[in-house]
Amino acid sequence: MMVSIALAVVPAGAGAHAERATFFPNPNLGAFPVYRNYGPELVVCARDSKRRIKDEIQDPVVRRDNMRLRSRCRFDSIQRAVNQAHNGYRIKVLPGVYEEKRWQTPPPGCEDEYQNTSALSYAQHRQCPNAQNLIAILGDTNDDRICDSKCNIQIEGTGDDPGDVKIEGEKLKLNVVRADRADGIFLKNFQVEFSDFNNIYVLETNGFHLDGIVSKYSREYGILSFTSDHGIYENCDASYSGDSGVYPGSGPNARHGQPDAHGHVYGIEIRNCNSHDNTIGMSGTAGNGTWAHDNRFHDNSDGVTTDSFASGHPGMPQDNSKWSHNLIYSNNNDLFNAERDAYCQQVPWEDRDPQKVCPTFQVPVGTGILIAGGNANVVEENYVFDNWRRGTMLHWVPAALRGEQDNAKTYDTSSNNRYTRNCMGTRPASLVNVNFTTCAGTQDKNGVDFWWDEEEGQDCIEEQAGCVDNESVKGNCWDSNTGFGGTYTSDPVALLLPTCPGLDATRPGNNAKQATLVPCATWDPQTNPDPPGCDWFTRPPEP
Amino acid sequence: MDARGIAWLSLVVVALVAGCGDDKPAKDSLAWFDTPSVIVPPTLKGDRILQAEVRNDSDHKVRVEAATIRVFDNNGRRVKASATFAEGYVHSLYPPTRGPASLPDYELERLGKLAEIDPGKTARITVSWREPKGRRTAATIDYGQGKLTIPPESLRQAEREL
Repeated sequence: MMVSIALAVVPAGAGAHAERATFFPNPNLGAFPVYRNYGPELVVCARDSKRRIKDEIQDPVVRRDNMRLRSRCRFDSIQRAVNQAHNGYRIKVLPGVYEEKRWQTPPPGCEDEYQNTSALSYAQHRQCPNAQNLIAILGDTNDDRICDSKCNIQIEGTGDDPGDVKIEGEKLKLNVVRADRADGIFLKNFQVEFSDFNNIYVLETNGFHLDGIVSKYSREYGILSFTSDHGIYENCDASYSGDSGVYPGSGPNARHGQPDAHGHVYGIEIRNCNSHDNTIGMSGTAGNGTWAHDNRFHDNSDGVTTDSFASGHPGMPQDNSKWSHNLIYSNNNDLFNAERDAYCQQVPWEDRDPQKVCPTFQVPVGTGILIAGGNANVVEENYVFDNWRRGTMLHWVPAALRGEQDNAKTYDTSSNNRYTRNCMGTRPASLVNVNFTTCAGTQDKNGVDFWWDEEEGQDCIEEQAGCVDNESVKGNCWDSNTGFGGTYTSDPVALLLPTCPGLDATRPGNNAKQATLVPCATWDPQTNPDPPGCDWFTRPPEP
Repeated sequence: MDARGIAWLSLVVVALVAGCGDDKPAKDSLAWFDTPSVIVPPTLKGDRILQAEVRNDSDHKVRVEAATIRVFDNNGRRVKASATFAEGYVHSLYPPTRGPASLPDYELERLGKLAEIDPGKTARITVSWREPKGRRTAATIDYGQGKLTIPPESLRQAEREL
């Protein structure tokens, strides 16, 4: 098994995406954390926790447990409890709103870091944990990228629903909760809001588990993981993010669809999440090795995206993720119309209505699932309906666009993706307990069910120079999909969609289709919100 | 000629030589390498997308920022347009409103916002515009240091295929 590749994210002078050079953890180490009800415990409470326990917790057992915990409360700040915690500690957070105001003022020696919104080094985060983060869990004390302190920390809201414990970023910090090299971190049962970048940010962490987290109103991302492995997002609700509700970016790259030493094919799993009313429900540049299942992605502008667009993301090109048993529907959120453009141009972030999302990146409004420059992904047994442009969209991304200098790799994307047994244009009778092995319900059309630019990429080995093709069977393929009345729509026509395993013959694709994507690159919400030649920003009429 | 006159003459010669060798390329240093293709997007019948290779026919490196490219109609009126040198759809690492004040050239080139074309070399360009109404039609692409004529036959071909 290869050990992961290390690449730098482009550091820059300023900007929301700036990050230090990051490295994938070793996939053969680490594990998916499980919830613990043992281990040393620290209790955090707010000034009004007692009243909230009495007034807001309905379940008498939970109320009694909370009152018992209240008597043991020693901290009024989650960060202070984190600072006191050692490996394996559990931090219980009682009902309340946590603004962590004490971290708004820089401590001596951190004045510059507090002013700096560009990429800080890990050492700078260690020195000034709250410069960019409302709450920081930093697990590596000697900068060898291995967690050795504050590992296996569990932070849990104790209410009877996530909204009982709110962590408020107040738009002041890039990240509300940052878990950095914090292997084994487990976050459970709270709501987090108003980050300038990420509400929850997991970075270079081998083993993380996010359970029952509600994320709202992030300027960019709700829950974001990056160059991390052995991660689970589950039972989450992510909404009103300017970019994505959930973002497993630079996902585990080393496996390439093969199991690791523990038998895990997918290093990150996203399950039972509801991501809605964002620009994108789920996205991930270089979102490798991720399995999203039993989720709902709806009422975003674009339900799901994975891509090889941006430079500097470790693990390019994107490959080997899977979407199964998801409901991907009604992703027609009209965030690029003239009225919203004007609002976003005129109203600064600090003053915006949190439910008026301003997109940070451009997407084709009305799309269910977009794979842009991805390889060997699986889209299987999903219901995809009521996406007014396209149910699914698959296209090539030239290697140069991710900064790849090797000309032999120009056509190394958009190969071997498999769409099987999906139910298209059909709304199931109920959105809970859906039987994904059948296709039943009422007709609710996508604009077109399957759209492909007709490019078939080469099967280059990612880690080798040039294009060493070691695959001679697979190609992009569509098999056993169906829709209302047993049919589906496609562009090209169904006859030209290869059945599985596909046709392993590289071809450049349909230039007329690819050309329509290019002008969309010139979008700028301030100076060019409606580029000629690009139809992405006009919500299509309901088909 | 006295020494003072020789000195003045030398300055004039130096200035002329400098003028000949400055970085400004001659007009119309870019030319179509092949016939541009123009398409009409199926859902935007009033828009046009032109794609072509442009070749630097000058003896200077030509540097063009996509944002400075303008399209004019056959009456010389400006037409709403966008241009990029990107080979396909791409986006920046940063949201457009939040990035650093300036990006390095290699990043601008990756994003298609900048082309630096050596003499004799080519670059892929995509220019899209809103086609004017009536008898007017997009006619020229002005890239600041010169102009490219939009071949009428490319436009007619696109409209025939519509």
